[in-house]
Amino acid sequence: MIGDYPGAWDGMGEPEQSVLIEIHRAVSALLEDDSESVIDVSTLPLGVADLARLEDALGQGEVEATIEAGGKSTVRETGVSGVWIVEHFSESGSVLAKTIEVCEAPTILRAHREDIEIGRDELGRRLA
Amino acid sequence: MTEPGMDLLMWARGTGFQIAIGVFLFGLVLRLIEIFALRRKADVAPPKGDAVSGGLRTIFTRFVPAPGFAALLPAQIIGGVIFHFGLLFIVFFFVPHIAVIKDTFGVSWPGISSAVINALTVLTVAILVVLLVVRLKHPVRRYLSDFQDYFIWALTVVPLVSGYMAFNAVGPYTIVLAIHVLSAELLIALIPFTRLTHAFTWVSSRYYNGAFAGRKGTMS
Amino acid sequence: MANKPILKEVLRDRGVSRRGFMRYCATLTSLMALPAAMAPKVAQALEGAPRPSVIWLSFQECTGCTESITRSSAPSLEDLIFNAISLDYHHTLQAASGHAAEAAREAAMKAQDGKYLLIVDGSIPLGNPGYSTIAGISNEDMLRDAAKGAAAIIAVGSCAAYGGLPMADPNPTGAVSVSQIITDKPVVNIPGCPPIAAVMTGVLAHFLTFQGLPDLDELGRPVVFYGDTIHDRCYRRPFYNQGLFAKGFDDEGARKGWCLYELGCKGPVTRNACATIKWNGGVSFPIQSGHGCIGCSQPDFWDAGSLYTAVASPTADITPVAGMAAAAGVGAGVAVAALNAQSKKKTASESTPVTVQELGDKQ
Ligand code: SF4
Ligand code: SF4
Repeated sequence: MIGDYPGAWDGMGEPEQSVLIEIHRAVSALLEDDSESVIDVSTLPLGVADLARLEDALGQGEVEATIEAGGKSTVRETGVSGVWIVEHFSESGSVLAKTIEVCEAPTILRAHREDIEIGRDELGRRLA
Repeated sequence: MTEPGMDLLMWARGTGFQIAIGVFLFGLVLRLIEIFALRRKADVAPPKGDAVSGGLRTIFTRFVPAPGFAALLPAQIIGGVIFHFGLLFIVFFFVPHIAVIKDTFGVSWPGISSAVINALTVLTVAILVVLLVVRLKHPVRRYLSDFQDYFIWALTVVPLVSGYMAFNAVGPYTIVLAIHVLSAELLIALIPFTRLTHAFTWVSSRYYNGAFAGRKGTMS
Repeated sequence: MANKPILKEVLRDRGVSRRGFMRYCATLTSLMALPAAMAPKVAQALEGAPRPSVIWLSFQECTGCTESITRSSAPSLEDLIFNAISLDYHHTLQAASGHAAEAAREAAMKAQDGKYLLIVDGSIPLGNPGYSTIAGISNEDMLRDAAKGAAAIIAVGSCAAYGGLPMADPNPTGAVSVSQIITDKPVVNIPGCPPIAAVMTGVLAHFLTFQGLPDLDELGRPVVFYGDTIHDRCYRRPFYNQGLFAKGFDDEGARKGWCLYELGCKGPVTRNACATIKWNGGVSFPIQSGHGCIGCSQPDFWDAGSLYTAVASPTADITPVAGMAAAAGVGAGVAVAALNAQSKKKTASESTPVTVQELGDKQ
């Protein structure tokens, strides 16, 4: 048991449980006042096996996307809606950065104003 | 600007090593000549037994403690045996040590698992600590101990502990490694000038005692 | 260079989308070990004005450091960061040359006094100023002059940071590092021969984001990148722990990927980020390619013994010393033995047998 969370998961080590608790708080905050959070996985004191257990516990959600923007990135929604796993890969396929994001949709997934403007202009040129 | 400990490590690997080996060889040769040049008056009494076989036998019989001693000094005897074998394996069968020997003398042999050496180091240091405590606690043994006994204890323990720290990445590696190499060099250099000389004279001194007794027809 | 396009437009021209830029900022943030929530702030800083003016001085160097940075992974996002700064002087990269270039440098230094970032690669010869000059100005004079008005100084590469190859024994040009000349200002050292491009851009990004320098260790290195040794983070470490070492570059151990310690790997005494960030956009790093670390980011690494000798093995030949010591030992041994024999004889001749009388007296 950690804090106010009695016996959260069976077979879970304390570090993974604390991360889950942090995620739980972040999801509550998102619901309460739209505040988004990001956790850099590389800064967590988790080993490969701990991380796998954590991801198992979060489960698989409805969205899975691959982004090709100056390199490959992937976005996966976990079983907890609003909790995403974002990974950026190098050319050789190794992970450059991995974050757990708590938000409606990760920034990297959304179309950005700047790009939309470029698209509109381009389309306009073709129509002209 | 240098990484802390790097200058020390480089000195230890170069000049320090040369000095250590130089002092060691000088001392060892000196001591051996001095010892072997010692003469006794000719023994004119008729021999009652064979000196050579007595000498050879004693080289081996002394591995076994004299009857009664084992019960009297269990810590020293069991600890002493394990400690000596531990040291032997750590010094000569840790792969990076073999690399040093190979780089220096060109000879090498297979090593044993570093994990085993690591465990042996813990055991060996633990035994050294126990032996020191035994020495300090027993009034007679403490009375019989002089400065050199404690000094060579420290001389042996520092390379063991620093080596363990270097291997297990405890503390700043460069500094720890420099201390390890330097302390091992100090140990090597001082072998001929301390009781540690027994590493080289135990065979001949056992033979001497054995041969002396053998000629008299007694056991040593 | 004042009307250089802003980063937004540069990105568009290169076909890099906003997403690509966000991705870059996210990886940079993670790389610099900043909290992930900082990524938007990093992005904002990288594209926000004012772009700091940068003056890059190259002294006794091989241009390898510039190569490392400009040839970083294609389609080089790293070089985009150079659009977040205004590179006002870099004699390899700029178009202008000769007096025009020097005039541009002086103009930038005057206009941006106290605000520009000074980057230096290469060591400085103090033996004779003539060994290396730019437009007739000695390296030392140019460095001192440019350092005066600099907001921060970054020494890129082992030569600028620690003297590097030019300073290696016997140091024919009397080369010194930047921090040996500039002692009144903090100098950030980014050693490596060459340094990893991402480390370099990471430090620049830090400067842009926080208008300051990252945490440095006692050798002036950013702790985030140089806090660990190669050995601390090496994937061959389990083999080291088990005592499984390759004995040659093509033996069974080498093929099985065993530890390269015996082949002279300097990973245990080398601080750098190669084992984690790796090279060429994360493709590999020397140890992964089968060669031990040569310790290129350490001070004096050229003089730290053979690249192929284990880091604890002796660097000196002991044969002459051993010969001399043994000979001296023989001499001293014979002398001591003779002395012993003499004193024994003396004792024997001087001593008289104990009489019964004497024994009786003692009791
Ligand atoms: S290859 Fe080098 S850095 Fe890696 S474990 Fe072996 S000695 Fe350490
Ligand atoms: S692995 Fe070692 S020698 Fe190679 S680049 Fe990195 S620090 Fe330099």
